[in-house]
Amino acid sequence: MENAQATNESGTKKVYAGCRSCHLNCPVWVTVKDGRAVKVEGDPKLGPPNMGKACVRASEAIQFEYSPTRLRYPLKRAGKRGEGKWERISWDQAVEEIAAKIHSMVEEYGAETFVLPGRTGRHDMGWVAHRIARTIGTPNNYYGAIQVCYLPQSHEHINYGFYTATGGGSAPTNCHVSFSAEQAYAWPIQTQSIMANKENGTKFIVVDPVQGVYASKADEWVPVRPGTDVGLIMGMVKVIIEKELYDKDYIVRWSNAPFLVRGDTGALLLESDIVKGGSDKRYMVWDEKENRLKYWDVEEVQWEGGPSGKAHYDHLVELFEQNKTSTEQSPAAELPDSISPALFGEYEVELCTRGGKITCIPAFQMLTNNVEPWTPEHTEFITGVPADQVVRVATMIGTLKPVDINQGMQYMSTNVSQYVNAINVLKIITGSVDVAGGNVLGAFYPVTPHAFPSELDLSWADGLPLEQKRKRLGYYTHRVGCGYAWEEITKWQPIRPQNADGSLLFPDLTTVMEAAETGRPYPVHGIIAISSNWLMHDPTLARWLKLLDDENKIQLHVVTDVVMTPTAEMADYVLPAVTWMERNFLSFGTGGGSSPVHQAFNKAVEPLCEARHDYDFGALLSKELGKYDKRYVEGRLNDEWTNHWAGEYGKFWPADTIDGQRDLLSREFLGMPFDEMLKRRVAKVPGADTPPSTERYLIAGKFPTDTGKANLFSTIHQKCGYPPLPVYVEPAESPLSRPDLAEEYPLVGSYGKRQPGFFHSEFRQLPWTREMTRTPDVFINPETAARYGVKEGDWIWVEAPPTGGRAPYNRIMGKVSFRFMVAPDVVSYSQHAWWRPEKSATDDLHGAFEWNAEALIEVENNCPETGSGGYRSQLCRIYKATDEDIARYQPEITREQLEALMPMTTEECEA
Amino acid sequence: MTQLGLVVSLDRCMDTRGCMGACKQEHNVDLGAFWVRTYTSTTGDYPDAETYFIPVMCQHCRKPSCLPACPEQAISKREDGIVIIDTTSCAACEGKVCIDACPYGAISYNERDNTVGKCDLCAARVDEGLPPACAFACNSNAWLFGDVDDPESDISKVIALMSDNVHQLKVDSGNEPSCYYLLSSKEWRDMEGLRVR
Repeated sequence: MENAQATNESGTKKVYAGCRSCHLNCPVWVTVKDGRAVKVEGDPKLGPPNMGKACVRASEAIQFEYSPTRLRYPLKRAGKRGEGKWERISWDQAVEEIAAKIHSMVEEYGAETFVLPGRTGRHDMGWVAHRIARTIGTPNNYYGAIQVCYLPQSHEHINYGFYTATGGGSAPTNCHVSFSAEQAYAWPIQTQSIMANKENGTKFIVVDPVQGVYASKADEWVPVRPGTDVGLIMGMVKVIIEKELYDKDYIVRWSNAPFLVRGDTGALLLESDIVKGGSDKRYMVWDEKENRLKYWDVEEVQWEGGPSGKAHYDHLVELFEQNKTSTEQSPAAELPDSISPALFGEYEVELCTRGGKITCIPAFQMLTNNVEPWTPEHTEFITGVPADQVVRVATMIGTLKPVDINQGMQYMSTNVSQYVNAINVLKIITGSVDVAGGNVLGAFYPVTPHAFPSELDLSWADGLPLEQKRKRLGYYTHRVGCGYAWEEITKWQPIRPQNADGSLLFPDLTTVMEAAETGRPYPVHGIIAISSNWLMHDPTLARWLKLLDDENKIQLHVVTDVVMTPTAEMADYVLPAVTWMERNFLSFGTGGGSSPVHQAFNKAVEPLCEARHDYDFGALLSKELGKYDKRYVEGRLNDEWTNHWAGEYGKFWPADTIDGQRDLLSREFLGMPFDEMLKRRVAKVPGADTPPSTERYLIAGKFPTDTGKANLFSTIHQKCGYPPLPVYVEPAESPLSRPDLAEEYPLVGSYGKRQPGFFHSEFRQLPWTREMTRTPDVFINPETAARYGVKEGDWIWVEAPPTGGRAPYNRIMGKVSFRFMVAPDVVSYSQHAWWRPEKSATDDLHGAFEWNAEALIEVENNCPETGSGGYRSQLCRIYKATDEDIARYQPEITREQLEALMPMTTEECEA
Repeated sequence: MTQLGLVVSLDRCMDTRGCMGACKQEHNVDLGAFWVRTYTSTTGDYPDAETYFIPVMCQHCRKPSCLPACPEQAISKREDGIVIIDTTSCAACEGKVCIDACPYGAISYNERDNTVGKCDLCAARVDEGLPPACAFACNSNAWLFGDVDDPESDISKVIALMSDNVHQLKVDSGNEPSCYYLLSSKEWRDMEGLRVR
C-alpha cells in the first residue's frame, strides 16, 4: 500500500485525509503546497465502501478551511449577548474562567443545571461532548436534534437488540423502500450504488410528499401527507395480512408474533402466570397441533418439546469474550415438528394468580385487529395516497420480500415512536431483519466479535450514579426516549448495557426549555454547546432567544465551533475548533461484515491560529475543574454497568490531546503506535472476515432481546405504558387534529428538505456552494400556489400560528420553486438551519431569523414516548412578500458579498 | 480522425453536483460562471410529473459556432477535437459575441479576469492521460469520456448499444455536438424548460 503521503516537487505533497463534511468519512487526497491546502479529490484506486468517490462538499472544502468566517482565538463577550463585541483572551484564561463558573454553578444548583444541546454525531464532535457532560456530572446531554434524527435508529435497540444498518438503497436487494430520504443531497456518494442496484433490477419505492431526486428515480413515488406515514404502513400491513404475503415461517420462529398477550394487563403471558413456581423466562404460545399452551424458553433457548440451545449459546459467549466466533447452527434454530404456534385466535387461559380466567390473543392477532379499520379507502383519506397505490405498493413489498427499508432519520412528527413501531412491524412480517436483501443488524451478539467499541461507544457509556441519571429532564414523562426504558433494557441487554443507556437516554428539549424558563423541576442555568449551532436547529426560536437575553436565566453559555455562527454570537465564551484537515483521525472498525477495518487519516495542514480539537478543550477543562474537586477528573465508567472492555478504558481523559488518546488506543487495540497506523492507513479487524454477516439468529438460536425474538410486540413500550403495536394518532398540529388553527393556517408545513452542498447549518458561507443554491427554496404544488396568488420565482412568507410561543418570529421568507412536483396543500421549505454569513452580527445575528425554520415549529406538543417535536408536520400559510420586505431583507446575495467570503490568503490567515 | 467527447447517462444522474464542484475546483472558475451546470427538467402535472437532471457543458462541436464568431480568433479546435479558448488572445470584446453564438449557453464571462471561459474537456488532464474532472468525480458513475470517432472505444460502443435512447442537444443548430445523453426512463426534452432552481 502507498504511504499516506506522496511528495512530488519540493514543497508539494498529497496527504491521505478523511473528509468529515458528512457522516460517510470519505478518504480523500489533499494537495498541500508550502503548508497550504490547495485541492481535495477522491481516488478510484481506493476500494469499498466509497470506491474512492468524493462529493461536492469535498471539492469545496478549501473554501471552508480558509473561510473568513473562521474563529481563530478564544473570545470573551465584551458587551451584551448578540452585540458582536468580543475580547480576545488566551486559552488558559478561557479555561480558568469557564471552569470557575461551572464549578460555582454546580455547587449552587447541582450539575444537572448544565445542558448540552444536540449536535451532529459525526466523528470527533458527538462523543467529545458526551465526555464533557460526564466530567461536569450532568445527565442532561444531547437534547433536541437526536429526538428527531438518530432516535428512530436507536429505537431499534428495543425491537431487535441492536440497530439495523441501512444502506439507504446502496445494498443489493429486491426492493428498497425509502421514507423521505434524499441521498443525492445528504450522502451523495451513495448514489453510485443506488444506481447500480437499480440497473441490477432493484425496485425502488420512495415515500415522500415531494418528488425530489430520489423519488424521480423510483418505480413508485408515494406522495404521503407529512406525519401520516404510520397510517400508510398500517394500510399496507392490512393488505399484506389479508393477501397472506407475510413470511409466516420467519414470524413464527423468530419474532414474538405468536406470543400470547394477556387480555387483562396487556403484558405477554408467562409460564409464571399460569403455573405456580413457573418460569418468567417462558413465554406462552398456543400450539395448534395439540391444542394447548406451550412455551418458548428464552433462557434455555428452547421451544417446548425441542432441543435446548443453551449450551451452544453459552459456548458462543465464551468465544465472544475471546474475540472469536462460530458458524455452527444452534440446535434450537429449527421449530420442532411437534409445535405449531398460532398467529390468530382467542384463547381462554386460567391464571394461577388472582384473576381467574382471562382471554389471550397472539400478538399477531392483536396487530391484525389494530389494522382492521385501515382499508385502502381509509388509508387514502388519512394519508392522501391513492387507494389503488396503497394496494399496489403493499403487494410489491409482500411479493418481493425480504425488503430493505430505510425509515430514515427525518421522520419528525409527534407520532414518531408509533412510526418506528410500524416500520418495525413491516420489517418483521416481511422477514427482513438480519437477512440478506433486508435490513442487517449492525452487530449480532454473541455471533459478531466485538474487539473494541470505538471512541463513540466508550463515550456513550454513562457512568453517572442512578439517582443522578434519574434527574435527566424528561426521564419519567418520555419514558422510551429520555429515561425509564433504559432501566428495563439494562435488565436484559446482553452487551454493553451502558450503551443501551447511551442510545436511549437523552433529555427532552421541551422539558429543558421549560426548566430554563420556569425553574421547574429545577433550574437550567448553563448551556455548553460543543460544535453545535443549536440556535439554528432547536425550536422554538423565539423562546430560546428570550432565554438567552436573560443573564439571570442562562448564566453561562459556552460554544466551541469552527466558524462564528449565530449561536456563537450569543455565547459568553467562544472557543475556536479545528477542521477535519487540521487533525488526524482514527476510525475503529467494529468487526462484522459492515465494519471490517480500522482506518487512520492524516492531518493535512496546521490548525489556523489557536484553533484546537474539542477533545483538547475537554481535557484542559477537566484538569482545571479537578483543582476544585477530584471527582471531575477521576470519574470512571460505572463498573457495575460495564461489561468487557469499557471498565478498563473508562477513564474520561486518558491523555491531554486527541492524538495522545488515539496513540494509547492504537497501541492497545491495533498493536502499534498511532504514528505507524497513520502511515499504514488501514488495518483489518482480527477475525473480521470470519463471521457471517446475515441470519445470525440461526447460529445464536435467539435474538439479543428480552424475549429472544425480534420484538414485533414492543415489550419496552408495554412495560413503560405505551401502545406495544402501532396505533395511529394524528400529528399534534395538522388540518385534522387542529381544524381551529387550520382555518387561518390551512397548509401542512414540512421543513428541512435538503439542498445540495450544505450540511445542516454548515457551508452557507462557501461561495462556490452558495452560488449554486443562493436562497431557501419553497417547493409547492403549482395549483396550491395559484390558490394563494403565488407564482414560481416569487418571494413569499411562510407563516406559522403564533401559538406555542412562536411569535414574533413565526414567519420566514423563501423563494418559490416548481423544480420538484409536490403533493397538494403541502409547503416544503428547503432547507432548515439557514443563516446568512454575508450579514453582520448586529444584522439579526448574521441573518439568523428571516430564513430559520425553527422559528415556525412549536414543541409544547410532542411525542409521548420520546418527546420528539413535529418539525416536519405542522401548519402554515403563505403569501407574497412585498417590495418593502425585499428592500428590508435584501434576500439575493450579491457578487460583492460572495467575494468577501472567498478564501483568505496565507497572509490574511496569519493577521 | 479523433473527436474526444462525453456521454452522460441521465438515467443515472442524481443531481449531486459532484461534476459542478470538481470543475469549479479544477479550473478555479470565477464566481457566477459555470463551465458545467446541472439543470432539472420537470414536466407534467401532479401526480404524473416527470423529472430528470441534465448537466450542460461545452459540447465540443464538430462545427462550433463560437469559433468563427470570435473577432480575435481566440477559439480553436484541437486535433483531438477539443474546442479551446486562448484567454491570452481573448479581449472580452464589447459584444462577447461567442457567448451569444453558442446554442448551449456554455460560455461564461469571468468578471475577475475580464475574459470568457468554458469547459475545455480538462485538456491539461487529458494531455496527462487523465479523464476530465467531471467524469472522474461523478458520484453516480454517470459520465463516460473517450473518442467518439473511434468505433472501438468504450464510449462509441455504449452509444451504439443504447441506440434509440441516445440523444443530443439542439441537433437542429447544425453544430454537430460531440456530447451525447442517454435517457431511457423518461421523455427527452432537449433544452426546453430546463430549470436552474
